[in-house]
Amino acid sequence: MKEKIKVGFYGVSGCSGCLLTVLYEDCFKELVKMVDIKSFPFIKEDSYKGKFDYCFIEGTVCFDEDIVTINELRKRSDKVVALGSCACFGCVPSIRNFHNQEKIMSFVYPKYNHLKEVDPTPIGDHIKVDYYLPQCPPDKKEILEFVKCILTGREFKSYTSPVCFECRKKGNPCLLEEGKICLGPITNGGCGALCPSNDTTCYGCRGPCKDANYEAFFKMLKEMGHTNKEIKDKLETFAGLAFKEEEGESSKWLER
Amino acid sequence: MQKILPKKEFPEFIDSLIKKYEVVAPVKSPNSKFQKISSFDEIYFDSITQVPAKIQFLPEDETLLEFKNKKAVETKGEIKKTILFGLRKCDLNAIQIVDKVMYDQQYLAKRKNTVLIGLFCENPDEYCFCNSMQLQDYHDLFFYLKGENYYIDVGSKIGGALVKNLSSVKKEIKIPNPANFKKLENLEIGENYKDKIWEGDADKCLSCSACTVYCPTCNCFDIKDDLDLDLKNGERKRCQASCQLKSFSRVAGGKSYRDSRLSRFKHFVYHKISYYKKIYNRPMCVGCGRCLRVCPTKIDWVETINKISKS
Ligand code: SF4
Ligand code: SF4
Ligand code: SF4
Ligand code: SF4
Ligand code: SF4
Repeated sequence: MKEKIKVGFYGVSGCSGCLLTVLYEDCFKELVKMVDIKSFPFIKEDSYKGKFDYCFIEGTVCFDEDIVTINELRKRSDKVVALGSCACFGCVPSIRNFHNQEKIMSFVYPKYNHLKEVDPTPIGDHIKVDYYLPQCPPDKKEILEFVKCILTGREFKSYTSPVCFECRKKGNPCLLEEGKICLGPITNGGCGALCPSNDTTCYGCRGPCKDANYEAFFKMLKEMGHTNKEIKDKLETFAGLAFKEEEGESSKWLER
Repeated sequence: MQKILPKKEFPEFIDSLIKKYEVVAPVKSPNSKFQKISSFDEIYFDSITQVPAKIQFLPEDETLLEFKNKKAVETKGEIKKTILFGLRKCDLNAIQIVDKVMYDQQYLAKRKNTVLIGLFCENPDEYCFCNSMQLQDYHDLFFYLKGENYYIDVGSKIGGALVKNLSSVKKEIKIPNPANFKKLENLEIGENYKDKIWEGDADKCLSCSACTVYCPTCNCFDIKDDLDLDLKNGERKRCQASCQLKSFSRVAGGKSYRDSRLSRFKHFVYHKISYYKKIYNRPMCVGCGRCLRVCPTKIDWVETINKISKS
């Protein structure tokens, strides 16, 4: 039998939710059939020192040691996969970028000021990332589909249409009509419109849709009566850095 | 031929159909859509359904082929004898329009086993403009309430069989068109493709796809393969596609032929008004207003056309 590909699952500053997702029975059971999990420090001692074909990394870069960790993993891996919204976009930890840093640091860590923090950033800002599997937490089915694609030599295609497409196909009532801020029209789908299908607005956790029409979207929200602050609070939550980058110069809403 | 049914016997008539067939009718859940019902009381009559009836024949993620040990086997797409009840005139015409274009085994199997029962539209809203769209009669049965009786127009033998025990109308009545508050004033927009006026609409468009997903005549689809690791077994599925998305016209190599939002937006309008008509001699749009109702930025392309024809 052909040798299984060697993979590792690692985390930097994250909540471990992505790694936990991998461990769900329906995901993990399938996964171990397909790949050889050499390292998974979250659940077993990390004694493997060799190379990986694919390394999955969860979490945001928040401290200087995170940079060391991911650089070392990059060297040992043929391909690096950013697993979850933290690794892909910075996610919740990156909200700090849009507020007064000092205030937040002293509020969260009144004692432990020996921490050498850096601006919370996605791992792609520090090392080369080959694949992105966003969502907070990532989708089990998508992780398995990704692995299947690797093993069968098919190209893994990221979902590029807005959340609204899946949401509408499910026949959900649109939450914008209820006056809520839903980021569905500017967010990449692939989650099956998970949040709106459960009566919760989309917070953009799968990151910006490349085709988003920001101008029209913000104009619509303002006409609905939402303030800049409300819009900013929503946008910065999961993929603020990525939305800001996508929108470019005109992104006034995410200034500190 | 027309049959007659006293209004008070109407619920009983529907319940008797439910005993014999699968009956699918408008239900509020929480958006209104066509769903299987188990009693007359579940039917929602108060407005046109938000979700169109097309999902009955073009369900999302329908398996078209099964790969079994490297052999492809086509699925039959069969359904039980189904009565699709409560279709408004626009809904019926939308099915007629899609019937002209879809002829794969799975679609036909579902259509063949479905009886279409229409119901006169009592509650058009400010978005409806069906009377501008050259609608025709296309039903197995069509119910129209006048006074204390339903007049039932029989459009086919299958329909006739369902009402054979009812008495025939001696003097047939003319079933009117629904009331409309909106009008599309011009169906000849071929010359206006390059008009600047479209830019205003496209600038407001979020390319969210809602208009196409909710349009009862949009039937574009994508194919995706769900394969097992051995690449010998798996399924080929059909899912809805939308020309408002960039992925729709993307080809090998990554180029997208309708890259700009403007060209995508215009494609929707022109397919509905001009392109289909060139082949089938009638517009594709049936004036149900769903695309206008669901558009989050309230784009009204009907008004845009009306403005063009005034200028
Ligand atoms: S609820 Fe959100 S995701 Fe769903 S259609 Fe409305 S805006 Fe789009
Ligand atoms: S709906 Fe939005 S916030 Fe929810 S999982 Fe999908 S992308 Fe993330
Ligand atoms: S284009 Fe709009 S009005 Fe016409 S059939 Fe489609 S949804 Fe209805
Ligand atoms: S408007 Fe677009 S999605 Fe609808 S049928 Fe035409 S090409 Fe297809
Ligand atoms: S519903 Fe409106 S905003 Fe969305 S794609 Fe259609 S025209 Fe554009």
